[in-house]
Amino acid sequence: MQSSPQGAQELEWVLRSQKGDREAFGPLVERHERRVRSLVFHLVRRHDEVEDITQEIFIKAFKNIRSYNFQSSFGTWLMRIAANHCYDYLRHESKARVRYFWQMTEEGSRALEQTAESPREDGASIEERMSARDLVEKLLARAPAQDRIILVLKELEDRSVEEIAAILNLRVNTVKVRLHRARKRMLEDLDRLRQAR
Amino acid sequence: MRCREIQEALDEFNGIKAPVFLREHLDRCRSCRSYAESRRLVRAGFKALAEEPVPEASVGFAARVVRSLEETVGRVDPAWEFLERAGRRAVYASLVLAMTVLLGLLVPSWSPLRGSSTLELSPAPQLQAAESDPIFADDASLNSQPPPGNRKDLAPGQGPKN
Repeated sequence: MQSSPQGAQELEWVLRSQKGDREAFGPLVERHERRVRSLVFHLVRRHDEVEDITQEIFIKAFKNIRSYNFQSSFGTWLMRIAANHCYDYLRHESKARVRYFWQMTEEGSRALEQTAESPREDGASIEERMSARDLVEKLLARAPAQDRIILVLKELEDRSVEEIAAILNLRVNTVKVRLHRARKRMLEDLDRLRQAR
Repeated sequence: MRCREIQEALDEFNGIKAPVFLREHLDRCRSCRSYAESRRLVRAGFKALAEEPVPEASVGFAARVVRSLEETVGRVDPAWEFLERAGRRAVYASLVLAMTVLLGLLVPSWSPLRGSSTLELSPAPQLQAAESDPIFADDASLNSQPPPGNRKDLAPGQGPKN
């Protein structure tokens, strides 16, 4: 696995954790907590939930640590658990279950249109009124969980296609295709939002 | 190049200045220009989101996780662990045994897997057919008996006389 002293230390913590030593799991939490928290924050976008979800992920990781077979780095294995956990969260959490504009009910799309057509005197476009940041946040919130995870890993976490493939347990080419489709769907959603004006 | 390929190429040049052939296409294709503009807007939004600071963990987060492990994950008893491992091996062994028996039952007698010994042990096919036929059953059983001279069930002197 790892040959550096840090890696050797981590290996020891992992092996001890696999034997049920909870104290050895503490340093692993300290080492990887920030990356897991970042992924959770970018995917869930709810400050009040981030800490609890991160904790749930580490508990799940400890429960399943015996299934870790050292084929990938511990960090990648942990991120896979985090991504799966967030995926389940996004799918089941009703608040996150927002859809693409074109998939919305008539009532939902009317509400969104009203937001887009809110009073403005300067003739500014929707993009100018809603900053790019807010717009992308909204588009992400409406994206299906699968698109959201792959986009967050690439665009916000700045992971390479190879890393994403390892985390999501997919082939590199599959990741490329899914990434392209996710981007395209997001842009189509943006177009529909513009056309609704 | 078709518009679809141009748009895919734009994804490849994510944030990097597009090459001349792409810019030329964008100059004359309104649809791709709109795609590129949207892509630029979305990229800017992602960039702004990525720059947002991730909330810090509360003090003692790791210790809290370890403490909660004590509540949610029970201590692993070595004896229990041994039994669990032994039980798992017993299940695997039973599965292998069951598969072997099943394979033995499923493999047909004429299969090369059975070998020629099976064929040698079974009676001749003609004899089998005759035995199952109610008319020739008696003849078949007579024919299967050893020749009179070799019969051992007869006491000395009871055999056929020439």
